[in-house]
Parts: sequence; structure tokens; C-alpha cells
Amino acid sequence: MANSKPLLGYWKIRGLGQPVRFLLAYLDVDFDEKFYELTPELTSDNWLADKEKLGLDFPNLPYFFDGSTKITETRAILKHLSRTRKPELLGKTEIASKIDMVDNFLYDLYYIEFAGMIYGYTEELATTYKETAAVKLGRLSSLMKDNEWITGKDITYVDFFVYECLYHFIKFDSSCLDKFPNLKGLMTRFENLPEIKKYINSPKFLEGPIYLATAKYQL
Amino acid sequence: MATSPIVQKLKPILGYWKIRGLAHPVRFLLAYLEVDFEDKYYELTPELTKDYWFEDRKKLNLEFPNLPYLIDGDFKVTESRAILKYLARTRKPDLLGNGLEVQTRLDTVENFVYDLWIINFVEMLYGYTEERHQKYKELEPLKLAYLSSFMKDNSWVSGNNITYVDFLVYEILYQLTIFDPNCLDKFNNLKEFMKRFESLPAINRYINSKDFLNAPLYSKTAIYKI
Repeated sequence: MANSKPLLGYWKIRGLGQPVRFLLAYLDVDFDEKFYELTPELTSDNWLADKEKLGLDFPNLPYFFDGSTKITETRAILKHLSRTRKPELLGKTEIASKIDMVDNFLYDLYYIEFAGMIYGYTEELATTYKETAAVKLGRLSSLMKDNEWITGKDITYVDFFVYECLYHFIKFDSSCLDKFPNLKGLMTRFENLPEIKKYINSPKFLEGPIYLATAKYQL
Repeated sequence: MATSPIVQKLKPILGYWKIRGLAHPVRFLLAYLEVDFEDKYYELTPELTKDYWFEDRKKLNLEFPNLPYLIDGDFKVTESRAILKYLARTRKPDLLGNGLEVQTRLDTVENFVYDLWIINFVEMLYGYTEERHQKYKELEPLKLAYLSSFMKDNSWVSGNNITYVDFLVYEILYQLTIFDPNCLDKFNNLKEFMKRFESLPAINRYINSKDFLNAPLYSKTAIYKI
């Protein structure tokens, strides 16, 4: 048991699990993955069968087992990995608030506005989302300025979250970053990190789908 | 480096709607830290638009313009949880939690309660329908049960020491009990936690002061008025 590899449990989609997968690859962590899939009737029964038996304080997907530590919540997992393997990824104290702001701001845009729209798709929601995204991506772009990464010249855990969010946004609207070349630049830079490139080109890499089959808008 | 006397006299400014909303955890933390701050209240126009805020927003130079915001000398921060952590970092770093394990626990609870609060509870209030209410009623006891089990008989969320997450959790529980006074009936430790928080001297003083905003919880534009 002591030598068991870390285990990531998540749906067999990119979703919120992908930033964690990318960070594990970046950190060169050899990990196991438990993929959950919806039943043929599109229910969550396969996950529900496991949910209360895993010893998780707040049962949810993704979850991460690391030795005797069991964590849920995507950003908590990203930060745990940073804290235990590469603390520089938490960022220097001077930019800690900036990282927190990007983390929180992006999560709201991603989870409330974007994912909410994808799962409960209507034309109206899509229009509202596109208007909101144009403004909010603008803010993100202005914050980044001509830095290499979202909060400065050093990569932090939040870049892993930013990359995946931008990937989703572009899949939905391929022109959404046209006005923000620095955000496009971040994506290219991320994809070219040696460990990330290796991972993307490996058989382990899950390219899609992005969301569950229950989403009204299929991405 | 000499600081101008004007800058030294500037109180931190917390900008938010004249509601409890997302800012109350920050107000509580400012009170706990005994920071003399200015509560800059924004109100809706008589037509229930946000124009007064939009006017100010143009002038404030915030990276992610939003409410609440905190202006602390030269530093400006938005996002309620980022503000909580900023205050902890600059005034009382112990409030961030000590040790890797505690910090991971805090991250997990912070994210978990935020989802319950904003995505389940607040979204339900603003876009209230009976159907959404029913869904919320099913979900809430499950999530509170997780929180209650997690806390066990600890004094605070992360154990025996108060951290920034306690300020978040208190306000969330307060708001949930205003909506449904019975929601904590099965969770004595959560009720005790609330009493413990309210009994902290600086918090008790603040709650009883004339500066304390007791209500409302949310905006007149929410379908469910609370």
C-alpha cells in the first residue's frame, strides 16, 4: 500500500480533471487513473456506487489519492501537488493575491457561466455567455500583459487551470481569443512545455470529449 | 522610505452592495483583525439598475472589476476569497493555516463550501423556482452532513485554530439558516461553531455595533427576497 501510485478519479472526459492530469504530467508523476463513465441510460450510477465508499470528506469528482492523503476539489488538488512536489508553482508571496484572483475569477466564468451554458444550453444563454466572455477574457488578457504566464514570467498552478479553460472556450467559439494574442500565446507556450508535449502525444492522453454526454451542447 | 501622511491616514475601503451577500465574511475578518475600515456601500438605482456601481467601476482601475473590492493603500484586490486571504497574509498569516496538510484541508473546504453557497444556494435565490428549491432541499442536507462530519468536535474548520475559512463558513451557515431555520437541526457541531464564532470578543462587539449591517442577505433583484 505504501508504494501505491497516486490515483486520480474522474469522468472519462477532459472537464475539470484535465488541469490535474496536465500538472501530474508536468511534475513527472507516475499516476493511475480511475475513469468513470455514465451508464448507457446516462446516469451517474457507476460513480454513485463508489462515492460514499472511498473515505472522502467531501465526495466528488475529481478525487485524488496520494499516499494516505485523499483530496477533492480541482484547485485543492492542484495546490496540494504544487505544495508537495514543486512549491514554486504556488507563486511568490508578492503575486499570491493575483493568483487567488485569477483562480476565483476564472472559476466563476468557467463553472457558472460557461459550463452552466453548455449543460443547459439555450440560444439565449449562449448569447449572454459570448458577451460576458468577451469582456472577461479581455480582463484576463489585460492582467497578463506581455508576460509569459498569466501572473508573470514564472508558471504557476493557475496556468494549468487557465490553459484548460481557454481550450474549452475555443472549442465552443473558435474566434474567442482572436483579440487576445497573449492568451493564445500562453496556450502555445503551454503545449510546447517538454513534459506537456510528451503527454499530449502519449497514448495515455485523453483528447476528448470535454463534457459529459448529458450536456445539452456536445463539445 | 517616507510614506505620505495622507496615505497613512487612509483607511482600507471595502466596496460592496448594501447587503450581507459575499462581503460579510470580509467584514467579519476586518472586525476580527481590528482594522478600522470604510464600508463603501453601493445601492441599486430606483429603477433597480447597477448604474451607481458602473459609474464608479470606470474610475477604480481594478484588474477584475467586481464587487466586493478592497482598496488597501496602493493595493487593490477583488474576489471575496482572495480578499480574505490577502487580509490574512498581510495582517495575521496564521489565519492561512499552518502546515501542508492543514492548508490542503482548507483549500478543499473553501472550494466545497463555495460551490454549495454560490452555485447551489445563491443561484437558487436569484433564479428562484419551486423546482430549483426542491433540488436544493435534497442537496443541502447531504452537503451539510459532509461538513459536519469533517468538523467532528473541532472548534474550528481546520482543527483547534481559527483560519480564514471559518469566516466564510460562518456566514454561509448564517445565510442558510435565514432561508431555512431548521437546516442545522441535525448538526449540533455546526450550531456550536456558529455560537463560538459569534462569541469571539471582536466579533461580538462588531455584531452589536451600530456599523453592523444585519440584513438583507441579497439584492432586491433576486427572485427570492431575503
